This record gives sequence, structure tokens and C-alpha cells, in this order.
Amino acid sequence: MNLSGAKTSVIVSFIIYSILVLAIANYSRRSMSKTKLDDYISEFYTGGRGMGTLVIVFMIASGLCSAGTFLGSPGLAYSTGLVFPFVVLAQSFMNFVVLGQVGKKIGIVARRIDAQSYQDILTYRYNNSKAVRWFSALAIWIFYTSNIVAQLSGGSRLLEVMTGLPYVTALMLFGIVIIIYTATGGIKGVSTATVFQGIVMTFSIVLLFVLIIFKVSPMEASYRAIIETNPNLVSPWVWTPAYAFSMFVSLGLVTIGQPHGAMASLMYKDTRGMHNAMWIGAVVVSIWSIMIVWAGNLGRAIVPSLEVPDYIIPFLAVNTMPGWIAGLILAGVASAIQSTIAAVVIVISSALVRDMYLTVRPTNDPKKIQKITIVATVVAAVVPLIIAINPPPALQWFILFAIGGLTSSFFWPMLLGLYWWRTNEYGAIAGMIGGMVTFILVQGKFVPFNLGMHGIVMGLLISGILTVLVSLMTPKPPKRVIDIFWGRVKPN
Amino acid sequence: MRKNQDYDYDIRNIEVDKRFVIAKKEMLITFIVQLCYTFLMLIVAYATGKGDPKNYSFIMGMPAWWFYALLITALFLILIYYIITKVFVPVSVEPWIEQEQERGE
Repeated sequence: MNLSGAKTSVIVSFIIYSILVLAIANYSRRSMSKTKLDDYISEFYTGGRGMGTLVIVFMIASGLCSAGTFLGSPGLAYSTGLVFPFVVLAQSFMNFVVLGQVGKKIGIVARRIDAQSYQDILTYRYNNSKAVRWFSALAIWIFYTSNIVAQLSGGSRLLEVMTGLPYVTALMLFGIVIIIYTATGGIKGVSTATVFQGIVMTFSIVLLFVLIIFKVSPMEASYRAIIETNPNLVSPWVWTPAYAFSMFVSLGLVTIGQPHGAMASLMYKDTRGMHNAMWIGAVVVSIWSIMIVWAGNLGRAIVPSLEVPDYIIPFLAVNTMPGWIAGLILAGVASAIQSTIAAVVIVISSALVRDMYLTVRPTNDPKKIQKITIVATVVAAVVPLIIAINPPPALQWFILFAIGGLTSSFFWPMLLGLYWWRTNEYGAIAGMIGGMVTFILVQGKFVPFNLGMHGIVMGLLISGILTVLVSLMTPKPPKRVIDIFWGRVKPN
Repeated sequence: MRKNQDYDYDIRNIEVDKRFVIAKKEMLITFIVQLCYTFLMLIVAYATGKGDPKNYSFIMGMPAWWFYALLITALFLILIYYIITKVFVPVSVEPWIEQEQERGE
């Protein structure tokens, strides 16, 4: 497949993009170095809870929209058909759903207990349970690392195809930029970069979509031609309604089960800004999901048969449009991938520092904490970078289960923990492990019973039942937890 | 570490922070809106997308069922804007604030 039509302009625009991201990182690094050492952790992981509307919008949107947005999803729209853009619409309101479900409650509770991460909230709620802390930290580390490896190798392979650079060089170009700006700037570096990346994504998506609409116009004739070759590509009935429903649940309803998506709840400055982030985010993500994924389906009318469906978007950009647009699309892909990796790296780093290192070797020395934080962040990013040089075959298996597994295990313990006082640590542990195991068994087809749906539905079902039943069979949570999560008056 | 008095309480005697009552209500609204969206989308798309694609009707060049899906999404965007600006209540995010007393759940 020929994707190398515009090598020079692609390389030039990718380098310009990377320099801009690094310049932004350098700016945040200077702002981080002004931070008092005592506030270091808080500034590094949650930006001192002072994030404005635009940052929150893109922290959620670009954090959750990854390589899939530009590569995987349009690829599936190309190979499976219009049913895929349809189910992707489920994620349109992700900002509204995440912040509406947990934004206010987490925001206030986080300030009460000085929480710096998703796991901090869970652990405090579940009575400082070591089991909850270690299970969530390990699950986050293992599954998120696999996820980053997939993102990195996907992006680098694309860079390799489009520029002719060797794979490892492409990988290093991708990875080192991320390490520099996450490790030095913390969430502030990530968030300013994320806003820039979100804007690059929006611009490239809209431009590409408009050009494709012109290419396939008149659209009705194009669609009739697609129907002639393969009617399945235009019908929702390729998937049963039950399966489509499970995709809607997985992409739309349960996003708070993904720690890096819910993190914005810990960072916003005030609820007015958060409210704006909800609807602006809904508009932005709707535009992204509709335009780029639909474009993959419309691509059928322009390129009838493509060996690697995942490359439909870059292929269209390189072969049917001016050279600089191909460069812009690559910058868009890089933005989507890097912003997700950065958000995830910060979550892994907090798991390594706060859930693992500091529980084994507690320290209050701010200098030491600062050093550990930077080391952990570099580790969080370097490990997947090294694995990505030569990804082991079994890794594919992990990646397949990463996001669904995390969602199935965290959704109920987080939601019920926040809104149902009776939930306790025993229920949470049962729900987390039960959800993850069920998801892996069902999705891996070790258990044939899936109700005709994606495994995440069974995982959630079992997890929810276990959380409730086990909580009811074991003692209620202690009063100090109730005081923090429900109480009006500060306990003594 | 575990003190007995920590478990010696009655949930009905806990004074609940009003902001958490608001948060719970908004969580339920969010769920209901997203669920309605899910079901409406599935019902409309699967009903109007039935049959052989060769006989599909088209609106603005798109297969009708897909056009309706986009239309519903646009309408829900307006609904969400309305809910966020008119129904959701801005609250203080200070950890502890003075407020009128209220008896718990």
C-alpha cells in the first residue's frame, strides 16, 4: 500500500508539531519549578485543582479518544460498515456523562481528603483497605501499560509507513516527546499540551471531513454504489440490537470506570467551569465521533478495497488530498495518541508513587517525594516504550482486555461507593475482582454465556451483584468514612 | 486500628451535606438522559434501518436511519445544554461549608 506520497511535507509538519508540544512543555516546566515543594504532589497530579473549562474539556475528550479515533474506529467503519459510526455516537456526551455522574461528589470529597488520584478516592472510601489499593494499582499498571504499548506501536507504524523512517526511530520520536513533557510538567504540562492537541485534532478532523464530503458528493449515488457492492456496509442489522446495546453501554454509560477519564473530576476549579466543560465537551466529542468515524465509512466510495482498513484515514489524506493535509492528519493522529498516553502515564505514576512506594516506605520529605515522582513518571512511560520496540505476541491478549477489564472492575465500586452508604471494602473487592474475571472469561470465550452481547455487560452485571450482596453480608463502613462522604459537619 | 465506636452509629442520625443530595440527583438525571439516548437511538435506527438496503430511502444523501441517528444526537445536545444550564445547580466546592441543618437519608 502506498502511503508515502508526500514524505517531505509529512516529516516537516510532524517535526513542527513535536517542537510546539515541547515548547508548551518547557513553559509548564517553568511554572512547575515555581511551585513550592510542599505543594509538589498536588500540583503534579491534579494541577492544584485550578483547571479551567477548556483544560477539563480536552482532558476528558482527548484523554479518552486515542489511536482508535483516527485509526481503529474509521477502520472498523470501513470494514464493518455504518453500524460502527452509529455505536460510536454513544460516546458523544462523554464529558456530560463523566462529570454528571461523579464530578461534583468527587470534587468535594477530594478536597476533604486531599485526594490526588482515582485510587485515593477508592481507598479512602473503602476504609484504607490495602487490598483495594494494591488491586487497583496493579490492575492500572498492567493494563494501562499494555494499552500504551498498543498506542505507541500503532502510531509509530503509521509514522513509518508515511515517512519511510525506520520503525524504532519513529517510535523514539513519538515516545521521547511524551516522556519529556509528562515527567517535567506533570499534569500541568499534560493539560496545556492536551488543549493544543485537542485543537489540532479538531482542525484536522473537520478539514478532512469537509474534503471527503466534496469527494463523495452526491452522497446518495455514492451510498447506492456501496450498497451495490456490499449492502451490509450500510445496514445497522449487521449487528444484533442486543450487541449494539452493549456497545452503547460500554462506550457511553460506564466511562467513569476508566480512571484516566474520571481524573478531571479531581482537577476542576469550580462547578461553573465544570458545567461549561460538560456541554462544550459534548459538542466537541460529537463533532469528532461523527466526522472522523463516518469518514471511514464514506471512504468505501473513494477506495473500494484497502488491505489495511486501519489506514483508511491516512490513505485518503495522502492519496486524495494536498501534501500538507497528510502532514496535518499525522499531527492529528499523534495528538490523539500522545494526549491519551500522557493522561494514562500520570495515572500509572500516581499508582506507583502513592499506592505502592509510599505505602511501603512512607516519607514526608518533599525533596524525596519530588524525586520519586519524576522517577516513577519516567518509569511509567519508559517501560511501555521498551516493550513497544518488539511487542510480545501475548501482549495482544492483554490489550484486548485492558479497557473492558478496568471498566468492569471499577465502575460499580466507584459509583456505589459514592452514592450508596452501605457499600464496604468487602463488597468493593468482590466487585472488582469478580467484574474483571467475568469480563476476561466471557470476552475470551472461556465461558459461552454472553447474552449475545459484548463481555463488558456480563462483567458489569456480576460486579454490581457481588458489590451489593457482599456489602450487605458484611459490616457497615465505619463512621469516619460516612462523615467524609456524606456528612455536613467536619468530624473532630 | 479498628475502634468499636467507629461502627456504633445510626445512618439516620448522620446530617447529610446538601451538596451531596444535589450531586446524587444530578447523577440520576445523567443516567436517565444517557439511557434514554441509548434506547431512542437503538429503536429508531433498527426500526427505520430494517429491510434490504437496496430499498432504503435517503434524506440529504444519507440512508434515512443514519440521518435520524444524527438528528437525535443533535436534539440531545440541545437537551443536555438545557439541563446543564437550567437544571444543574452550581455549588461551592469548599470542603466544609456552613449550611442549614438537615436530617439524613
